[in-house]
Amino acid sequence: MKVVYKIADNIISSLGFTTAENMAAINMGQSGIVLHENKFGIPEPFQASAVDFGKLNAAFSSIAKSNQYTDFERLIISSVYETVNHTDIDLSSSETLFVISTTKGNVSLLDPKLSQGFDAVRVNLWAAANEIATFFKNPNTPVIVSQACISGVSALLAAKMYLESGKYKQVVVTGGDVLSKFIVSGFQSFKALSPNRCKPFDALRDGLTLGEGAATIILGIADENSLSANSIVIKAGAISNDANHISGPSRTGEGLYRAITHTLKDVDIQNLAFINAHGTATLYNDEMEAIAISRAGLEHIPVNSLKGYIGHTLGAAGLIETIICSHSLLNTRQIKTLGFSNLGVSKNLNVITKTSGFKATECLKTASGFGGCNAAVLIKKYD
Amino acid sequence: MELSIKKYGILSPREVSINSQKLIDVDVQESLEKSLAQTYRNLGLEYLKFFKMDNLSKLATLAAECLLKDTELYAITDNDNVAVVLSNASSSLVADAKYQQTINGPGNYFPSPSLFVYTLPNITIGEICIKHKIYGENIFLISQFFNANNLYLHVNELFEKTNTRFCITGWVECNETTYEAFLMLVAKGKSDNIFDIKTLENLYKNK
Repeated sequence: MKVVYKIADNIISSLGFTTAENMAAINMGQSGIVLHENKFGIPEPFQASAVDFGKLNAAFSSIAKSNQYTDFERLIISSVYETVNHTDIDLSSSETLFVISTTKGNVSLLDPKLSQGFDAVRVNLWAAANEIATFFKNPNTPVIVSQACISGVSALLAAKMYLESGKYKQVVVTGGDVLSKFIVSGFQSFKALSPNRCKPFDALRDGLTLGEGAATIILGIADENSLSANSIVIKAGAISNDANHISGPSRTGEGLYRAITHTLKDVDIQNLAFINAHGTATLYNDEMEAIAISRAGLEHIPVNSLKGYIGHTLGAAGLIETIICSHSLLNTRQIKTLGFSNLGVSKNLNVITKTSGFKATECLKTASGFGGCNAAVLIKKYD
Repeated sequence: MELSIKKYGILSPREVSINSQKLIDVDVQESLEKSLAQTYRNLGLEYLKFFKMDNLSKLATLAAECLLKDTELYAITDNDNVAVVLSNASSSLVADAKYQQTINGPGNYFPSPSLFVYTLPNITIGEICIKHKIYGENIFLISQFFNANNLYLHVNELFEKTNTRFCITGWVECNETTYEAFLMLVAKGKSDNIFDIKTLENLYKNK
């Protein structure tokens, strides 16, 4: 049987510019979230997990001319560049497709103070995607997924289908989002941001913390029997809509419940090591997730949220968190939910509070977002 | 798997049609907002949420309404097997620019949650799903031009790999001066229009 597997990965976040740097920081319990004052000309201070663009740009200048690309494009190109360095994949091949996940891409170019030097057309997601695909000399039209906070998981599931169709040999799934006045002020206007570092599933949780970053997963397709030991396979997944409200999560966890049950249809839940939830730490999101997980009969499965380490990285979140989960499976170490102390949802979730070992080989990753969208993906480690 | 386009609809300031037959009259002289509101009235729709939406969501809602009217999916309360795969070129850029206006300067800093929520293209999918109780697979894809190749690949794979039995798919594009929606209802089985790349390209081109 053919399976879709991970060839290589990269994470760029406040915690580092490689997956290894990010995993090392997370395993030590480090958070990249700090308080930002007077940033972007936003009157209120805010907590956020920000990428060190000074360092990124210095590294980027050895790859290409920095001023020809926006922050968003530099972030994505850097991530893909580092990922592909670990492989012998030909990105210029017509059998390689780029799938790019982002919510807002170059939106900061709408700010008259930030748009200098770039053509107005560059604010379009397709224009940024074309820059990225052209940089790597890829001949295919890049596929862009823009689906709020599930964009990353959606992009992975789309890539899985495209590979299974036989049309492509490998897919570069990459994505990201950059903090901006646009994004921060928007979440502030929703009263969605916590004045502190976010506390997923906690009784005292009072909002989310934003983050920025990029991630890349190169996926390939191969016969199951030909996989080497410790391969990570994207085994199943599903997307569902709440059909309830455009900005509020469903009170019955409808879409997420359906996404989870469709994903686990042919899965023995004995093999589930843990669930990596969306866990943004807003009152309503975490409660909705608890209801969906409970309805799916998974209350006893250990569950974590990674938002306390790197914040909510929007279009990158699904990719960054899936990569962290895959390494958690490989290291057989559950990652504790940073910021969590006391359970504050109505269902008895088994929230992971200490980094500890396990034997099972599969992990369920979920995401939910504005527009009522929900996604779940099941990844499996092959021994 | 044999898939076919059961219905297709076009909604623009010049034309509201289903399967190339005029559905309602439109007054080409009207502004964007008025033209969308006129289409709403002429469809006989009573859905107050419509007036809260931005133009892109209004467009998607009206186009889905035209498409689903008189089908077996209309007024079902749990459409679990219906997928929605939408695409466009400019994402939610009109709403983005409108929101940006509210945060540009220190003397002009009034970020509004009701504007911010429409700065995501997939809100259109959410609105369609709410109106028609659709819980199925959904995704929003951005491409510079109508990408028949990838839309075909994506929808075809959804029918192959998921519980999808019907798919609402196509293009919903809105800018400052005009709009156009081209939506199709795809299902298993035969009809006059086979769901393939060539038919997609022809229907889009001849709209």
